[in-house]
Amino acid sequence: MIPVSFIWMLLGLICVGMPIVFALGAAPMLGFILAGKEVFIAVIAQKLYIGINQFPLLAIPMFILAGEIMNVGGITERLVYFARVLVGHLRGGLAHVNIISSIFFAGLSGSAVADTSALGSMLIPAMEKQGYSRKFSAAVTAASSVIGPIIPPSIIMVVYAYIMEISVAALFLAGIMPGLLTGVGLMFVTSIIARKRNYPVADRFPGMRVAAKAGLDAFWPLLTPIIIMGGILSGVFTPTEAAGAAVVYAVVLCIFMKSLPLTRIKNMLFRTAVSSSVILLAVGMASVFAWIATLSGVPKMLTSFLFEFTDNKYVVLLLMNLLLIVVGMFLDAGPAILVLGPILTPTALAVGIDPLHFAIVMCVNLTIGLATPPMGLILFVAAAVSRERIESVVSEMLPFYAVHVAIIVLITYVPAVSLTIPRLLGFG
Amino acid sequence: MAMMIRILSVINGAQLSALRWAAMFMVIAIAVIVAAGVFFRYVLNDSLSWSEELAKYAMLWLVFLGAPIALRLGVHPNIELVVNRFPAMITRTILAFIHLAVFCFCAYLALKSHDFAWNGRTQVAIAVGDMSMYWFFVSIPLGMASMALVSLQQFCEEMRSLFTNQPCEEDSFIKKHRPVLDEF
Repeated sequence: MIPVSFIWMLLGLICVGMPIVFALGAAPMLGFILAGKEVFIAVIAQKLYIGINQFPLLAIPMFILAGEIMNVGGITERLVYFARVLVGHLRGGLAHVNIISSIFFAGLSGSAVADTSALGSMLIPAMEKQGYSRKFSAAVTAASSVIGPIIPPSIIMVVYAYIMEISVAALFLAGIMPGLLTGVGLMFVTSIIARKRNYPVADRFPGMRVAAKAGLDAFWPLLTPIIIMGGILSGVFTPTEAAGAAVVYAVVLCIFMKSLPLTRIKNMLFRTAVSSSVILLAVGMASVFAWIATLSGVPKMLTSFLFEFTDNKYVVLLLMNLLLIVVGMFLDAGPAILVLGPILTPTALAVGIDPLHFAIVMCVNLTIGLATPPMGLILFVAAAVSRERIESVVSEMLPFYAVHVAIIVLITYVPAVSLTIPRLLGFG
Repeated sequence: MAMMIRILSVINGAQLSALRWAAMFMVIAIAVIVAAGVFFRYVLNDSLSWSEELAKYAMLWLVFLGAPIALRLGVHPNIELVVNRFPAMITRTILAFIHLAVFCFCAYLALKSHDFAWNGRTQVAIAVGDMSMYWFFVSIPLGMASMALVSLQQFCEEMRSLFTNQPCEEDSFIKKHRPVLDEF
């Protein structure tokens, strides 16, 4: 219908710094104009409307809002305190606390950046006081923040599931094991580093009574992921309704804890409005782009191109992982999924890769890309919060990157790691 | 040029402030509507027929109310790595070109999407009191037009910075609202 040159235009526009959301729309539009098919441009508006006006997407603003409320309402502090009681007595205590808090926080919020900024601003100064270097503190925060969007709920998973038409619930479930394993791997590496550099224990184990009290304080917030997942799996909630319920639950918690300062509500709503519209407009534009890419046969061309070299699915997975890592270095997870999902997924399915398996590989890989230089949102936030240079944070990140890569390899070549839980619960 | 920038800055400051309130209202509206939908279905056992539709339309409005603010505050993700490698003059020229391209895209799509909205005026939203769909479709051209104005201002600012060789000044809207996004 139209020449595929618009793919090159898209890449060109993105490289010279045009916001990706506009490049996704402008490249096909230019393609239409050059091909003399202006009639299609009116269809762009219609596809944009259809792409956004979808009930499943309502989960995105709701999950963002729920995360904001929990964060502003001081729930983060309770989680960190509970984590501290649990693992503060290990060598390198606060570094472990940082990782465990990230796992807890992952169940409340669907975004990695929220995790980095909330936990970083709280834990990096505390770690510094106990003699950790700032760059190491920032590195632990950044490395563990990627757990946020891997453990459900997850905004990028909602986006992927919507664009590629797979079940959000199944994708959420598939993320549980990879997320927990990332946490375990990071703690393992941390304990080696802590022993080598003789990092301090944070505090002695305070005894069962204090631990039980802290656990009770953290119990109600930690119930959130169980309400969300339980609600979705039992069929009580759609994911969107679960996100709405999470908002209501967060508000109720904050009212009971009397911890939601009214003055900050306005800023919270403003941030939710801006981040939601950024993500949703990109989703809308990407659905326009996906429609045109499919019509012009880009995925088919990619598949036949790839088949000239190999049709072994393990080799294809390797190649795609490499591509995703490179792309993840330059692009945020959300836009990367929106640009690459519609192009790569049909190819992956054509060589016989399970759709859910490919989805989780892509989501985890690109999430980890959030913490890699030169463009990594989490890295930027961690550097900003710790007032360290990005390069020095990266140098401390190297052992943690090894964990990240190991996790990608593991979930790529041992599908059972991610797929067992959804299979047991009757998906795919 | 300076005059034009000042005028655009005033216009955009005003329109974006209005959009900001409306967008914040939409967030509350979505939360309330979705929560009410769940409450009526499971607690009162009496599903609301309009809650899903209305929440979707509120979200549509939210997107096109919030996106111009995001554009002004520079939070739509992009890759600056390549352009920043060049000497400052070339970087500014490229940035000016990009703002101009965004302006053309948004302005053109504003016109086209208004055609789409106008053609759809005879459709009605049955779930929401037979309202004409025009009132929901029209969020798209409005948002696009608003983004066109914002990118026009950004283009002018970039051009001035190209000629004066000074970095772009932040106007009062950015100074006031950018820090809110960075706090936690």
